[in-house]
Amino acid sequence: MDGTATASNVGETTNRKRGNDLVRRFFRHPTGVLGLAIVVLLVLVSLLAPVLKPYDARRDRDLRARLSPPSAERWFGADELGRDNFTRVLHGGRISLRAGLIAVAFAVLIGTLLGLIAGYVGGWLDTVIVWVVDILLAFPGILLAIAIVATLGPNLTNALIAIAITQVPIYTRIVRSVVMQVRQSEYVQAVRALGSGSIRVVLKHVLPNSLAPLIVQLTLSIGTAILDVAALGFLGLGAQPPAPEWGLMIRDGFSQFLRAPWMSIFPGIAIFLAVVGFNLLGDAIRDILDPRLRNI
Amino acid sequence: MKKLVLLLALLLTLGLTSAQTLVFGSSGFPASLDAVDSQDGNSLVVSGQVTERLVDFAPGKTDLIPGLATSWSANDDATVWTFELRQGVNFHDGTPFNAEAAKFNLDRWNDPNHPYSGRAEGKTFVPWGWVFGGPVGDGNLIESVAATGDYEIQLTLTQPAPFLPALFAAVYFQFNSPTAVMAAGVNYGTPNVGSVGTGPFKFVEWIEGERIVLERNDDYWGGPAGVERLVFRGIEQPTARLAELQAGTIDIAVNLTSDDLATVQNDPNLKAAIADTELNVGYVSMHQANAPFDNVLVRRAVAYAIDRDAIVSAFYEGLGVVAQDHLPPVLFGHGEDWPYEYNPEKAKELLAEAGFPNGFTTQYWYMPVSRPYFPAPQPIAETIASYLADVGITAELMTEDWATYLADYQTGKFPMYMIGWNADYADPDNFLRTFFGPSSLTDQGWDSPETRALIQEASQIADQDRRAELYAQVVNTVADQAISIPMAHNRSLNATRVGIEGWIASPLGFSSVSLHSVTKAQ
Repeated sequence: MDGTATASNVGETTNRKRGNDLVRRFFRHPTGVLGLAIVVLLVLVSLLAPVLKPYDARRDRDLRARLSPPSAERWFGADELGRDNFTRVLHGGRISLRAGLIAVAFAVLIGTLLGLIAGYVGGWLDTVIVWVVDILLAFPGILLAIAIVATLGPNLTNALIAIAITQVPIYTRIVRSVVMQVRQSEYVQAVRALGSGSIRVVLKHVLPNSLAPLIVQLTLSIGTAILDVAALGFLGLGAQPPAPEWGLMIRDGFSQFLRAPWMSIFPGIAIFLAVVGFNLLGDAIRDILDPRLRNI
Repeated sequence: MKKLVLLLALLLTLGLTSAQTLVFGSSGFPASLDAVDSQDGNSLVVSGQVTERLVDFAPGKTDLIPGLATSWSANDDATVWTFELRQGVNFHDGTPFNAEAAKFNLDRWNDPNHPYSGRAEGKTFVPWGWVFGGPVGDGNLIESVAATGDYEIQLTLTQPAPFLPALFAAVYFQFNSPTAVMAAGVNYGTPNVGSVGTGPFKFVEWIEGERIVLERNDDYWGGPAGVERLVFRGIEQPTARLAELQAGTIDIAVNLTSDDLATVQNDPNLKAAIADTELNVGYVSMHQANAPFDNVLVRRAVAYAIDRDAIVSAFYEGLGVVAQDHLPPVLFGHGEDWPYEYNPEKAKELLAEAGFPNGFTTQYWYMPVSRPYFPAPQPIAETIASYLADVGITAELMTEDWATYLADYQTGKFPMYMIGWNADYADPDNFLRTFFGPSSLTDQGWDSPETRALIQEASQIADQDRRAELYAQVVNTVADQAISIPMAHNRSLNATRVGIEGWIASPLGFSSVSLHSVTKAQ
C-alpha cells in the first residue's frame, strides 16, 4: 500500500509540473491566446446578457423602428419587427453557446461510453458498434442532422439531439482506439494480473489516456456544433421564430438583404467569431498536447 | 463580301427576334398546362396565353367581356343557360372550335366517367369542384351540357345560378383542343406535350426547371399579338425576381415584396404595375376543435389583442388596406365594420371572464410562402404572436411545407393559423362560400347551418340588393362570433421594364392578365 501511495504522490507532482509547463506553452501560442480571448468574451457576454440587456423575444416588437439602419441608438440596426439587432445578437450568443455545449456534452458522454464498451468488451458488441459508427461517419454530418431533424420535427431541442448524434461516432472512434492501445500495453496487463477489475482499469488508465485527444476534439466540436445549430436554424429546422438564434436571424435577413443587410451581417459575424474562437483554441490545445509537435 | 452581307442579315434577324421576345418572371414553374387540372397562378398565367375561356374580364377590371362565347342568356329562373360561341375560330392544330369542341371540354370536366377525363389516372380538376361543386353527382351545379347548334351550347343546372357567366370567367376554365386531348390522354398538359388552344400564343417547348417558350399565333381571331415570342421563367425568390428585372434579363416581374415599392419607383428603368384594387383577403382563423377556441370569449379576446392597423401600416407599404370583413371593399354584401378595435385591456378582461386570467399556451401556424394577401407571413406572424403575448397568450410559432399546410389547415391540426384567398371571379359568393359555405365546415370547425343556408340562398337569387342583405347577415354573424379575423386586402406589386407597354395588372391577380396586347420597344 505504501508503494502505491508514493507512486501517486510522485505522479501528482509531475502532473502539476507538466500542467504548468502546458499553460506556459499555451500562452506562447499567439493564435491560441486569440482563440481563448474570443471564447472567454463569448462566455462572459452570454452570461451577462440578461443583466446588460434583459430581453423577452416573445414580446419584442417596435414596428415604427422597422428596418432602421445601424445608429448610435441601435448599434446593429433593427429587423423587420423593429427589434434591436444588437440585443438579439447578444442573446443569440446564449442560445448558440448553450446549444454547442449541450450537444457536445451529450456526444462526449455517449461516444465515450460506446468507445469504452467497443474497445474493452470487444467481440460482437465491438463489431456492431464499429459498424454503426462507420455508417454514421459515412454521411456528411449536416446531412445526417437534417435527416434526423426532418424525422423528429423542427425545433431547437431536436436540432441538438441531431447534432449530438452526428458527433457521437467521432468520440466513439477516439476512445475505442485509445482503449485498444492501452489494453495491449504491458502495464495494464500487469495491473490486471495484480487483480484490478475492469472498471478500475478503465477509470485509472484508459480514461486519463483518452483525455488529451478528447479535449482537443471537444473544443473543435463546439465550433462545429455552433455552426450546425446555425445551419439548421437557417434552413428552418433548428430554433424557431421569434428566438434570436444567429442562423435564424440570417435567414430572416435573407429576403431583406438588399435593403437591410445589417439583419444578416451581424449574426453572421457573430457565428464567424464563435467558430473561429473555438477552432483556434482547439488547434492550440492540440499543438501543445501533441508530443510530436513539441519544440516546433 | 457575300458572306459579310449574310452575316449582317443574320445579325439583323437575331436582333429583331430578340427584341420581339418578352421574358416573363413568374414566382415558379407551372404544375401543368392542362388548366382545369392546375390551381396555381404560375401554371395558369402560361396556359392562359395558349388556351382561352368562354368569358373574359375587361383588362384591369372585373367586368365580363366575351371570350370564346360571344353572348349568353338564361331562362327566367336561371337554371338553363345558353352560350353563343365565336365562329371561325380554330385551335392551333387546325381543329375547329365549335359546339362539339366546347361540349367535349365541359363534359371532360363535369362527367366523372368521361373517357378523356383522366380522373382514374390522377387528374383531379380541383377548381371545377371549387366553383361548380365537382363533377356530376352530389351537390354539383351543372347537370348536363347539350350542343344545340353548330355554335350554341346549352347548360342545364341543378339549381338557379344567376351569375353563371362570372363562374366561367374564372381563370381555370380554359378550352383545349379535343384532338390534342384525345391524342395525349393523361399526359396532356405535361412538359413533353404542352397544350393546344385557340389563344394568341402557341406552345413551343417547356424545358423543365428552365423555361417555357410560346410563339405568336398569327391567325388569332383577335389579331396577332404584340410580341413574337414569350418566354416564361420561374424565379422563386421575390428579391431574385427584382434583381433580374433590374438587370434586364426579364421584362416583367410579378408578386414582388411590398417593401420593394420604393426600389421600383426609384429605378428609372422600371415601372410599377399595380391594380387599382385587388380581390383578395388575408385572415387569421381559430379552429374550434382546439380548446379554448371553442369559447367565443377567447376568440373575441384574440380579436381585441391584435393591432391590425399597426400590422397593415408596417408590412403592406400603403398597398393594402385593413379589412373590415372578409369581402374586398369593391364587392357588395358588406356588413358592419369590424367590431374589435385594438384593446389589450379588454382582451385580458375577456380572457379572465373565460377562465384564463393568466392566459394559455397554443400554436400559431404561419404560411411558409408569401402570397399577395400576406406579403411577409413570418414577420407578420411574429408580430401577431407578440400581441398575443402582451395579453398572456403564448403562441408557439409553427410552419410546414406549403402543400402540406394547405391540406392541414382544414383538418383542425392548427389551433390558430393564417391563410387567405385570391378571387376566381368578382362575387361575394366566391369568398363567403369558400370560407363559411356548405363544404367549408372543416376550416374553422364552426357548425352553423343558418350561415350555410344563407350563403346557399344568396347564390340562387338574381336581385343584388337582396343578395347583399343576406351576405351582410353572414358577415355580421362571423364578426359577432369572431370566427376568423380578417386582416387585410392587399394589392400585389408587379413591375415591368420601361418600354413594355400594355401589361395591365388585374384585380384578380397576375394569372388573369392576357399578354396579347403587350408590346416591347426596340
